[in-house]
Amino acid sequence: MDREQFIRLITRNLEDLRRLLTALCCGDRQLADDLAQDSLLKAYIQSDTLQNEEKFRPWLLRIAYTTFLNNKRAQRILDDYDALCAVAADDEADSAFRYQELYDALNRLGATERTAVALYYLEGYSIKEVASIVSTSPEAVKQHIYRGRQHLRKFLNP
Amino acid sequence: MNEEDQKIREMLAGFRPEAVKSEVDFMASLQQKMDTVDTVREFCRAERRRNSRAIIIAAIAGVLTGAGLTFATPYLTALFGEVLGAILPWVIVALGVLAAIFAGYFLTILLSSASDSKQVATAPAGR
Repeated sequence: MDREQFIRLITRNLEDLRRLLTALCCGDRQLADDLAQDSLLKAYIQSDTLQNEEKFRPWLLRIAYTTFLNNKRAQRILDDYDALCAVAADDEADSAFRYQELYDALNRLGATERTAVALYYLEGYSIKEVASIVSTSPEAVKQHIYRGRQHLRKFLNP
Repeated sequence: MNEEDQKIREMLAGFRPEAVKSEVDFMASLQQKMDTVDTVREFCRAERRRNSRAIIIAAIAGVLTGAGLTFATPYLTALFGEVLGAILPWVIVALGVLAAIFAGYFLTILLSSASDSKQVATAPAGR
């Protein structure tokens, strides 16, 4: 895959990628953008390994999910993640405040549950597709979505 | 799909958070990083090319020196006498082959690095 082809494909998927990462980062848009840049660079470096253009989107999302998890692990080592989420929730503008409740609800979920919920409900992937993106079994994804839904219920029915 | 599923989907369907950077700025910053990746990629490719060329030249130099010195062993044996002549010529062959291999490898690397930097210096600027 050459550079122009890669740019054409990412332009088509950029909005969804940034939206997904914003949801995963509980509204920390700066972190979401940094992770999006990292994910896209990793994708660009590995782009020679992708043969089928139709698989680009799930492939990119899998890279984004791994990048998010790696970042979360690094944050955990620094013991800063929760503080970072709290700061992100507080210091952002009106548009972010609009989704504050949603971010709070997502923040209550674990990383895998949050990813499964976001991919299933936000991106509209099937259970099987979500399973392939997060590299787990469809049964496990069903469990994550079920648990995620339980947590979101409070948000949905205040 | 149950009602709860539908409700969550509807709620998330309107999720359009405003990004920190505009798409244009985001892409500009990404393209800058991609340029760096391309530069590193090109550098690695050139290094690989240079390395394989040097390995081939070193192998050829080693084989030629080895063959030449092996043909010369009768003269070397005669030169060093009976006692030393049994071992020393082969030591000379081995050392000569090693020297040819290393010289071939490092000279090729050195010369192709010099020629590459000359090409970079004379190449038109800009992408």
